[in-house]
Amino acid sequence: MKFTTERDSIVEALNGPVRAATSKGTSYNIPSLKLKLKNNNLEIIGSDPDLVISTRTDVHGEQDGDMIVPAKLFQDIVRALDQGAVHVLSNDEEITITSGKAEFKVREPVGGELTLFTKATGDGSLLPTKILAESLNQVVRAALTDNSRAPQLSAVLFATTEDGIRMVATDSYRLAYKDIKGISIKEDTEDVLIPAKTLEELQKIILANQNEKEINFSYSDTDAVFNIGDSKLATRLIKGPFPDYQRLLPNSYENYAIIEKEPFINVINRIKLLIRDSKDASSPVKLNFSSSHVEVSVSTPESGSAVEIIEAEYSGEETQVAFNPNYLLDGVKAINSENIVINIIDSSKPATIEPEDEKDYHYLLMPVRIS
Amino acid sequence: MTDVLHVDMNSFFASVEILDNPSLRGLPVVVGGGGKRGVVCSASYEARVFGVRAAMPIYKALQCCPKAVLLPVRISRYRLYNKRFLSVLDRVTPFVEPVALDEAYLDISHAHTLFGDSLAIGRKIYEDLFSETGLTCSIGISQNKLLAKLASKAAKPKILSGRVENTDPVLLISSAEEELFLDRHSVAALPGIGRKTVEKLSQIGVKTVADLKILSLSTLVAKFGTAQGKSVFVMARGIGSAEVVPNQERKSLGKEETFAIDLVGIAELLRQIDMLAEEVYFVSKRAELLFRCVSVKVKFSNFEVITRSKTQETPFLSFLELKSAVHAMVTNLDLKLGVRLCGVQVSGFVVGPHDKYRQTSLFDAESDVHAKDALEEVTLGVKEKFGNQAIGYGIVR
Repeated sequence: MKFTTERDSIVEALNGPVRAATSKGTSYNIPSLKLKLKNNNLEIIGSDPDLVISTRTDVHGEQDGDMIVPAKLFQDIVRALDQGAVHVLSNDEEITITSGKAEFKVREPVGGELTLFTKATGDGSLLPTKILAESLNQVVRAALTDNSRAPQLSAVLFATTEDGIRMVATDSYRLAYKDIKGISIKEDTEDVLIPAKTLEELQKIILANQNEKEINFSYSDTDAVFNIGDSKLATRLIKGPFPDYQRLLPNSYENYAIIEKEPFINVINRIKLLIRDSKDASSPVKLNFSSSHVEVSVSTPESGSAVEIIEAEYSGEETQVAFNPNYLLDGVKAINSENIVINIIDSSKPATIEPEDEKDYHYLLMPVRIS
Repeated sequence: MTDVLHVDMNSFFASVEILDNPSLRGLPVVVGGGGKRGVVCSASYEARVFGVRAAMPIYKALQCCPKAVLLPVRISRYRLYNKRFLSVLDRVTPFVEPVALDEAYLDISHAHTLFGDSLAIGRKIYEDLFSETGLTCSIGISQNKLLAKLASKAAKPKILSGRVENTDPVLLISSAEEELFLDRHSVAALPGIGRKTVEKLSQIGVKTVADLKILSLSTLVAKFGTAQGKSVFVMARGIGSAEVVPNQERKSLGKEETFAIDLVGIAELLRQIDMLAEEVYFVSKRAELLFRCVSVKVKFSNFEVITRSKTQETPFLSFLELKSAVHAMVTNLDLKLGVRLCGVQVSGFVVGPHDKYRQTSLFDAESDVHAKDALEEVTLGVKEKFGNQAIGYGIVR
């Protein structure tokens, strides 16, 4: 195969696929990409046993065909070239990249096929990009980021509700859920569990495709596909069931505080400066709620202590609750309104952080028990 | 109780110089500072045969042994070996009190579960130090620091009629042997008894510790003043401090096992790893060390070693939590080759007693957490009372 392209456009098209490419589950010894050229359209595919990211870009094609390139090396080479035309040619297990007076001959990786598992096809549902991006940002943060515990905890649940969909994630210490009204995911089968890791990739792809208004989403019983602009992300699904989270949602709260979001974030960031040494790592921040303010404090075994008072509108009994400062910050930062509401029951039951106005997002957080 | 262990490296500085320059091996090596007017810091046994001793002026050493190879002190080099020395000790117990670059006391009372009886611990330290630093040492074990130090000295190679005689490098003085052992020593062997005191005692016919014991407290106080009199009186009776004060914080705690027959298959590996993790967990729990990192080491039959580790933001608070983390690290290992060795190590310690702060889970009812904690407490209690093997976690198939 043979084509000519602009350095900048191929550099951009490589980003997603290179991130997905691993040598896991393939017979290639190094992470590799598949390049497919057909009628002036180049498709770049990077894959992992659980994730496939592909992008399309228009090129000047001279000879259609397929080739395999070493992912990182190919990306590094085209990135390092000067701006302008890049010629790529594959010939007998060798890839030639030329640009200006530079010429690279790269050996083609040896191996079999890349994993391309997608079963999900056809028409999916159309999800509004902006709302999906915002919701992912609010929900993915509560999922488990490693695979040290139940795999369901490292997934985001997409569930159908009466008037839309609900996205839910929990690492068992906190739980975030978001209701999106007015959209539906067509096949109304079981709940869909999408790995949080893939959704983080999806967030990056959305960021690079902000002009696209909608994302096409389809799924089968084993995998799901997101199509956005020239990019496509396919992921294996995680087997359910998702933990029974509904029983965790408290019916009512006795106490709540309304706090201005940005100043509150600044206070927590200042206070948590004291949690510095590794010995201090498990020290929580304590929130003391009283009628006109919240006192935020920390006391660590190694570094010292700090306290700051922030104005708040509080209704309820004077209470103290302690939280992991990072989990707390994650929740507060996820709120997209000027004021946040913290609902509390007592020092051992989950608290909820919500926006003041629209109640479509909730972040449940378990306290740190002090004994 | 014979749980204080004293390790003393044999002619440490000179031995390090010989390791760095093997052509010196077998020669009388003297390490000392300040040219001819300086003093000997360390001398190889080949030099000691000629009567060279530490703290002897260099000129005198050269008189005793004109052929001595005189080398300057390279303290940074010895510090490096000191680090290796301490890292070996550190694996045995967190309770290590270094007294000099080449000397340390260990409280091994908590190490028996992992490494066996006191003598076995002594031998392990000797072997590990030798295989990992190439240096030899002497080890004394007894009920307090005084006796342990005298024992390590007694375990040093001896110079008998111009030849170096090696003795067993590990000497344990049990409580039954204490008195006899101590009585034989000359009074000069006791710490804090200098030449003047030795002379005074000698004038009244006191040469050995056995002789010293005949003197009453009031006689000693009258002769040497209250402080020294009292201290000599108790030392002569083998009474001394057993308190080992670690001035270094523990960095990690681990246990590994080499198998006589290579392990095959994941089930077998998990079983072994669980046992190691359980031991390490309960040792750290007993020492009230909360840890945030765990690493697993697996050595295959071709000696290839892989290590996996995990650090979490909050400490591991239950054995089950540790176990699932460890399992996640090994389950996707390629086990085509047999496993020769595996190990579990925890680090990233957080101070404070267990349970001080606990991030609660949305899915655990509070009563479950209490039940699990109570189970661990009981397990720890049984292990302490009846030994590590007395109770353990089972496997549900």
